[in-house]
Amino acid sequence: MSRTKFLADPRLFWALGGPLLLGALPGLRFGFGPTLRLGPSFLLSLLATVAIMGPALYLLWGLTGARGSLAQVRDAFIDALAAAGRVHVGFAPAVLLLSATVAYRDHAILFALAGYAGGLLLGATRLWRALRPGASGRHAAAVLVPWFAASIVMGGRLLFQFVDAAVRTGRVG
Amino acid sequence: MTTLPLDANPLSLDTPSGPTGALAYVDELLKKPALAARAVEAGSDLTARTQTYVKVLIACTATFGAALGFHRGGAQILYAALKLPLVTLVTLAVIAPLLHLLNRALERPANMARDVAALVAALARGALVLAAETPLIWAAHAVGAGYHRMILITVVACAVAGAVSFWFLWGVLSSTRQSRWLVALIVLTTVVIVGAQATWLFRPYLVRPRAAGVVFMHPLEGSFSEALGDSIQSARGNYRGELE
Repeated sequence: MSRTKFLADPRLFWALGGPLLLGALPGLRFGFGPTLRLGPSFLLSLLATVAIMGPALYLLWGLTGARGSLAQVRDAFIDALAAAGRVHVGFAPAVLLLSATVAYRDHAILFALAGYAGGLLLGATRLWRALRPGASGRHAAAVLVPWFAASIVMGGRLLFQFVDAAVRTGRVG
Repeated sequence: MTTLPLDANPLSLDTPSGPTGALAYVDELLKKPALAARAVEAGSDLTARTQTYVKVLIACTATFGAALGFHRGGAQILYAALKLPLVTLVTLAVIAPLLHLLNRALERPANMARDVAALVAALARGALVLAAETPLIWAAHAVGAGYHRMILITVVACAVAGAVSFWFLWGVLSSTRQSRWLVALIVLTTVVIVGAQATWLFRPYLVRPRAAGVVFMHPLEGSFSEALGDSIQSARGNYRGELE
């Protein structure tokens, strides 16, 4: 896929726009600055996790003898991220309502994080479904379950650092 | 020899769209929810059905709200009759995009009009249950149930209506088996949280006995779960104000 085609792919907008929107909404309770920082915090933690864990998944998938070319694994990954982004956008009205009306502003962040996790759970389901035909159930589980666990630990840690920095010190990273 | 009258339509019973007209839609939703769910799924008379269900939703929740408002009386009857439909409509507005995008993300059949109609029908069925439970509220008024007991009765009545409503939605979601559990789980969790928050936001419905006046909405404070816990304790006779 050429670079122009890749950038025009609507899946990319869903994948990037969903976390950006969902992250920015709870920031409204903290002020303009945190709003601008929280959105990119959600997106950056996702992109960093994908950049580190994505190639690892392809390597694990290939090394253990499962079927699937690089293009297929990449497409499955983008599909999963786009699906997660759609769900993030779907959660946006709920997170906006809750963020605007909860008594304690820290709860607003919790709702956004729950929506973010819900979207990623759905993305993981899509990824599982896309890759599953390339291997037996046991094989797919043996590769994907530890990979998901490692991604959650790494991504969660990154997200916590970004969000904490955005909310407390006003600096990301 | 038997003859058919000229205006007879031998296929009328097999017409997939079923009965038409507002009363027929309500009757079907009440007595044959599976048929109503199938009609929504098939997209039959979607606009007319949705309009009817929205009216049912508003009328039934307003009736239940007014019955709650009678606990205090006066302007509170009108306020509660206005606020309960608002709570339901706010919840609907928040959940509809989520359901649609979940369907799209999970490669299920997704059509915004049909998804909204399914949600409205589910909420309307729940509202019919609420209207049917209104005599319970009147009975509680009649036996002089206290404020906290009334709160608990209201929560139980709403929970029953919510369960019936969800069961209808589950029927619609089950027309496509793929990922129905995941969609149902996410939608149910979100409805419970958003519905509780919207209810909390528009309180009071009953008005505390010690409150001097009646207000349309309280300022932002506390949460629904905290208030429910307090009401359970108070209904048992443990008042937080007295303990502190």
